[in-house]
Amino acid sequence: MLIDRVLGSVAILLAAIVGVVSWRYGVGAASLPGPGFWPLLIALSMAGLGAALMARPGPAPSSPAAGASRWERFAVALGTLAFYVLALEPLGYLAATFVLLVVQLRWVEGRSWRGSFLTSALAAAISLIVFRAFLNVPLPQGMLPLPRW
Amino acid sequence: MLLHGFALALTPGNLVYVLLGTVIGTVIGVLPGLGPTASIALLLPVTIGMDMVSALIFLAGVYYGAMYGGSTTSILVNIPGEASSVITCLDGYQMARQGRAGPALGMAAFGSFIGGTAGVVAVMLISPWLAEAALKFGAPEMFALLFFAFTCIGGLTGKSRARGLLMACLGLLLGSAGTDDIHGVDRFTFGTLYLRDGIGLVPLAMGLFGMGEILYNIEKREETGAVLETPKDLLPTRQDWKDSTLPIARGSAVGFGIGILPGGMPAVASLLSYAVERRLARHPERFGKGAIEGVAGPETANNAATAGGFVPLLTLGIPTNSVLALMLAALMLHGVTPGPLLLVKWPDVFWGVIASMYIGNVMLLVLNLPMIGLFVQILKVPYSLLSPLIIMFVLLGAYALNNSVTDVLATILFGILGWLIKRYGLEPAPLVLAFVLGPMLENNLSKALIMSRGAGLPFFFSRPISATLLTLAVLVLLYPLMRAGWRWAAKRQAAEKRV
Repeated sequence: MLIDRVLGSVAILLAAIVGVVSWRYGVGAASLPGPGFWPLLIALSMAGLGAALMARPGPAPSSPAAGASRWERFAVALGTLAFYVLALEPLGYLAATFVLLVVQLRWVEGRSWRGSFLTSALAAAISLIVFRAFLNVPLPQGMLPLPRW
Repeated sequence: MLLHGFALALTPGNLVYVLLGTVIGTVIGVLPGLGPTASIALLLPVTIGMDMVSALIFLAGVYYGAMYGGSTTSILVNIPGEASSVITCLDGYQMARQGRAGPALGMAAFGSFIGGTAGVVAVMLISPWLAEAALKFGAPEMFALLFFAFTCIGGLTGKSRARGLLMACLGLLLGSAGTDDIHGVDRFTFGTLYLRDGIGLVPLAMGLFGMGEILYNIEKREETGAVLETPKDLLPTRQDWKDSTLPIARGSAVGFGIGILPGGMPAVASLLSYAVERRLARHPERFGKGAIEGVAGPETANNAATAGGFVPLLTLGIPTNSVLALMLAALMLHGVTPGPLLLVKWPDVFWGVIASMYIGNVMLLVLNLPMIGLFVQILKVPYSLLSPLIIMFVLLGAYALNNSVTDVLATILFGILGWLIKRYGLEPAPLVLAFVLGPMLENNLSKALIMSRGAGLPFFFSRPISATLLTLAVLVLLYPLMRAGWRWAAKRQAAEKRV
């Protein structure tokens, strides 16, 4: 129920924004549709569907039944992803991936220190070799004093 | 032509690719969490360096393998590897609990083989004919066909059609970002260079399906059921075969029929097959308690549907589910424009893929039964170890596409979107499909409107093919409203009678 109302209102809001922007791109005529024509159609459909959802909310979606939320781990996971995006090119593939994996294995998944270090080192190294040597994909070298690959 | 295809597919290099594809696909299918869509999305970047036919052969192998691997986990652990194996859990797991895991797995393998092979034969026979017919399609007809496909896709998945269609509209919106085809104007690019080319399908798919799944599992970790020991005796009995023959035959027909249609996901095919078998069975109460027909029929159907999906993809250039949408992306990455001209311009691709599908089916049957032991071991690897490794692989694949960190960022952002979608029980598949279909829809619509010289909607209805397709699409859209109207009318009648 609630999800449909939220979804419906978000849809209508988004449709309004898109509609305005599309209008500004120029809608053109029926014989020569402008760049805004298609997005405007989409916006109108979204508004209609959003209104339909709010008027007649459907059955509750089958959210997979699961346990309690593990928010700290989730936050750490997101943090590692943000780190990766920022650090990949400066630190290089090997170092960034190693850190990503260690933090994930140790803090998100709760594995041992030794296991995390070992797995991360192996995974980072092997993936580098496979992708660089076998698949010919260049990966960031980074600024650390490591052998060129 | 088919012989030429076999000649291509049987070269040592391509044979290796078929082998690799089916094995990797099965492994990924066995692993919980990653379905065929995520697997193909993850492996797409890997195929960039390969030549065109090999890349498709590899990916088709992965697709088939993932379907097969999914049924293994359904039978042994009661956890479906992906959507189309959900039905197999019902009777397959019960059979395993009764000590009959072997025949269940065996029948799933044989059924899959027969369904897949029958499907490929049908693809081979129907495609050239369909491609010829499609050559007569102009822009209005293509638009009508795509619109029909769009309404089926949005409406057939999940519990609520409005929700599915809304997801599809979101996909359309995301697909419209980038430089407009006809006018060259930048739309929704927010002034960035990255978005000029539009949003990439691979970061979108990897994020929504792969990363989203992982993030969801980090937030809520589910407990997996106990893994049973490696089954020893894998061959079904004569009685099993007797019981399964008709379900397999019906499954092939049902599966292929569903597979050709837009929105025809193998999951739908296996569901339908199960329903049909239960309806037709002499003792329907056996279903849900370990009836082998409940495994044979659906498994055959989902493989036949998998094959069937290739018909619209290869002849019309229309993908009917998210996996095929990714195959389309793979084709385009290698410079092939799918459509009715594919058989004419790139016959190698078509016949090579067909031949590899035959070979892939055989390989799956021959390899997977003996390798069951290995797969059971894989099932025992803890998810806490796999999850970070999968993340690494997703991010690596995203970077490998264009050597761009922005792609990695895009994948992560779509991962968050995918997590939200999964968390609230929504469907990601219509989004991806609409994302791929959107630009085609717009292109054909614009061309058709220009052709119509301002006549607008009546123009579409003046041509027989587009008129029929559009009417069908409208019917699909309005069907639930009509049903609700009938029910309301029936209730009113009943209430009046009481008075």
